[in-house]
Amino acid sequence: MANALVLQAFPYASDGISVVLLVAGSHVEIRDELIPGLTATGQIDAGDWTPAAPGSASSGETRVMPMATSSEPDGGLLTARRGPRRR
Amino acid sequence: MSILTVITPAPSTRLTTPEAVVGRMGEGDATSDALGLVVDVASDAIAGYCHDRVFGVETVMETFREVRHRGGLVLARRPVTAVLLVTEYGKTIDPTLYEFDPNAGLLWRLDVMGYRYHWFGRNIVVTYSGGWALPADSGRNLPFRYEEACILTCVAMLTSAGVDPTLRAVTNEGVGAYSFDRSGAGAIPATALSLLDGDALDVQIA
Repeated sequence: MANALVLQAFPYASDGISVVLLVAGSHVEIRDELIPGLTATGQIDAGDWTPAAPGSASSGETRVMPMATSSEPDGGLLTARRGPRRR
Repeated sequence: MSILTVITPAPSTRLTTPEAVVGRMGEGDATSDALGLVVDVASDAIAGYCHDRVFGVETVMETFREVRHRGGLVLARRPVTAVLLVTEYGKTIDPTLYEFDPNAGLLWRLDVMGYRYHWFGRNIVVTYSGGWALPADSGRNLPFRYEEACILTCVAMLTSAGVDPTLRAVTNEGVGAYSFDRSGAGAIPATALSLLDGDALDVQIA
């Protein structure tokens, strides 16, 4: 949650159940995942809020399938399943 | 039907985390790229089974054309968290003149007395945010059945990797016979499908 200034009034359901009308000029707590969209459309000013760091699970970073090798004919799935080999 | 324009896409489509899959299997490497890919594929398979539903939070602009006498507009992304802007013929509607049901994703028009009445217009544009915070996000609120279905699918994909899915039994005369239960195999196992059946049947009625 981040504190944000409402720039334009809009109805908001923070808990997904009850809807409240946020009034322009008020300061409210907004869920993190909504801030990029609300900021992009000019509804709120979230100040110095920053998105999730690159590389985190929620950053949308593209993962690349490793090439299959002779020791891993399934492309690493067995390693993923069993963990790294122990010597 | 409506036209959907995504303003802010969901940062991730993963319905579970590699750590949760490793925790369920009791072994594995959560940092493995291959496991991350399995989570991506399983999440995509489940989204496809649920009519290409987008589960993560997105901010979208949805345009409805030739709208006449509807009780409520059915929005494509659910649950709806915030309705940011509604326009008719390009004119902004005051936010006190509409209301929405977050879980159903329905948007109703109100008159000045607060009574519901029909939407009517050639071009109604609704900008809103909808979707769930996914397991890797802070404040996660994705229903657990979706994550459970994704974990079960990941486990099925990992345990059936490299195994002939058509193999049911092996018999070596004089040595022994083995049979294999393949009920948990496949792109999405039956146990996961049972968790998703409500969404597979979910048809939006305009």
